[in-house]
Amino acid sequence: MEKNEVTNILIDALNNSDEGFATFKKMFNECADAFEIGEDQKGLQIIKELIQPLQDFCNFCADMLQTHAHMMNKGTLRVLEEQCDMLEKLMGELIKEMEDGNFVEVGDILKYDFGDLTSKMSKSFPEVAVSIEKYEVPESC
Amino acid sequence: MSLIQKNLQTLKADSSFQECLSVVGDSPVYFENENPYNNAFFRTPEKNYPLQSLRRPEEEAERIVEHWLSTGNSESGIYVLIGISSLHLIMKCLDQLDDNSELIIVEPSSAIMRSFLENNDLEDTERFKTKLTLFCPLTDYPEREFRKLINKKDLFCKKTLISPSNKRFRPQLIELQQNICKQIQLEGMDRVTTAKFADEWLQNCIINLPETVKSPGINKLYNKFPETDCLIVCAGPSLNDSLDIIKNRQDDCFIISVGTALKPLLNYGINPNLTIVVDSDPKVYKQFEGLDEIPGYLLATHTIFPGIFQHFKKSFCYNCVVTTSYSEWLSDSGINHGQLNVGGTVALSALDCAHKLNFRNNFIYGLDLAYAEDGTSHAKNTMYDGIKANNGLIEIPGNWNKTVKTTKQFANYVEILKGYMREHIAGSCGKFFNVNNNGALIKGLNTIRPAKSAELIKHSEQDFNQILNENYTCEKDLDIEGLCINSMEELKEINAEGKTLLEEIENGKFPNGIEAFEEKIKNSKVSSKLTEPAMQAWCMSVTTKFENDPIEMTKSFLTQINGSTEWVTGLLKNSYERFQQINKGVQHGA
Repeated sequence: MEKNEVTNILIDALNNSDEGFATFKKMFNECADAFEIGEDQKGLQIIKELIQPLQDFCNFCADMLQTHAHMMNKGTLRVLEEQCDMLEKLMGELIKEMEDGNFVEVGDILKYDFGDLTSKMSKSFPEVAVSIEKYEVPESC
Repeated sequence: MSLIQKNLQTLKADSSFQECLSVVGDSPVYFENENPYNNAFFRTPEKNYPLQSLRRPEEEAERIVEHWLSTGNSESGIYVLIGISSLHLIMKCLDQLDDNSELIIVEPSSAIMRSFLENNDLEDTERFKTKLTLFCPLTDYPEREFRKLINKKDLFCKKTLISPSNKRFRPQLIELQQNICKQIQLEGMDRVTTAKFADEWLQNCIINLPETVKSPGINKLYNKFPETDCLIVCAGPSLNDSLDIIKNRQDDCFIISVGTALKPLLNYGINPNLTIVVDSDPKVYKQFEGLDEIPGYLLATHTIFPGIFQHFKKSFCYNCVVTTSYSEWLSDSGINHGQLNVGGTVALSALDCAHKLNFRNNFIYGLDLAYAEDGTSHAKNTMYDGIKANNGLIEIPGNWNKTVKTTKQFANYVEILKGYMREHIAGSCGKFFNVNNNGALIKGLNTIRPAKSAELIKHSEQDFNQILNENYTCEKDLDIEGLCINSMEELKEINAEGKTLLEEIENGKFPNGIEAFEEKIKNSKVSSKLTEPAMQAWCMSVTTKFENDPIEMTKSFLTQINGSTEWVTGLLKNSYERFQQINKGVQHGA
């Protein structure tokens, strides 16, 4: 049986996620670099632009797991779940350190923690897409 | 051996630096064990904040230093890091700075400095040629101590940096950085002035020798006037508003006039007791042109334009820091005139004079350092009368107006006077009032209106004219003849040796005696002191001109020595002859 339209859109998005991850990474580095050399206002401006897309991305991952986890093989699902947990955790840390004015740590989280995570996700997303594609939708009763 | 002791050895720290570490207190910055260098944290009641990346501190330090050095040229000089950071940042600075440069770390908190030295091993810093100096000023005026530190250095300060984290958690360092930058600017101005005028100053010193050796030093008057009020008169446009008050009170008070204010005072029937002159520039002679037998005493530094002495019957002299080597040479004959501060404006020397003479209260008139609303910068009847402001004025805080217009040069004088008041006058007995209806704000001075000064000035309880006359006594048994003759002989000897060595080089021989010659100059009581200005000028050009050619450099050195010894010998000969003629009663016209 064929997959529904939402699933096809998801597969397409996962296969074309590279550009989005590259944009994120660029913004992480720009923001961290600004804090690193003491340009705090610039760093804060970038982070202001970054927070909503990051939050949207977290929601996207959470929705994906909720609606399509059953379509992924066990190995791929475990990796994706770990990555999404990490994403949630880092978002929490980022917001807390931002509120505390700990810009050195904010820079570290963006440049290294989010940077590493997005690299990993940019590799795992196409694998998730393949896994969902391979999933055979059972015939309805 | 403890780590701090090891570090002090590595840094070759002197006793004053070690003393600053004995101050007890908790450090808000602490260091945690990490490899290869400790991480630094800023402690607050709520949370401890890292001062560097905890993931890749070395890479971060490298980028910060690259950014710091990316603007301007990266030539040798002194680079100043304000506030202790992690050792990662310090190591990267040492790594990226030119080998001939020096990194000075200024840390105003001795507790932080001690914590740094107790928890970081500085041994690794020795692998760099760039010199590392840690500086921990103990006084309330760290920028002034910093100035003294850089004043002793050959290199010039290029850049200052506060790490971004220190900027966030220790914002007081930003003010320190601003103050340090001002001191760097003033030091630069002083160096340029010295390089430009050192030869002119020495020349004037020697030409003035017959007059200065016959003048008592200002130190004869130190602390003599505790029951006398003093009016210090400068030549700013606000002086016009105060001449009546000064005239009415001139018999009650001692009056010190700066040279520029002399004509307005005399024109108004006011006779100053001392007229103070610093400038060597022939242009200032205009202040005295047309005036004969000026009443009162001239107070002159040895460097003043020579013709000025002859307008006064009597004079006191003082030494200043720019002619220290000449003063040392002069002291060999038994002359010690005492020293006054100089720097930028003659008003500084006038204030220092009043401070050292220990007046009861001091009322400063005409110290505007700003342009009046009509665009004038000086009082009527001064040599600058009628000259109005050009474009390019800046605004600085005023005494009564929020801002006043002035030049960058005057703004620097304000800083110089502010620093002087803070360092020398704060807490002293005599009060200093800035009497002005306008003018730039000089922190440390009490600003009052002229009318108020008329109420505050009190009649002197001392006969200050008598004190002046009683102390106008010259030193006896001065061996000027011996000093001049011996100096000329020694200079001639140096000159002859220099010429021989120069001939050897020009004939293609290596001058074997060059090192001994250099030692001889260094150890000489005369040539090292009287040829210093010429050698200073030579040193300024030598690093850039002869980088790769030691023979050309040696030739240039010998040529300079020969020229300067001949020049100084000639000046000394003329002055000595004039000194002898004056002693025989021969008069010289103005």
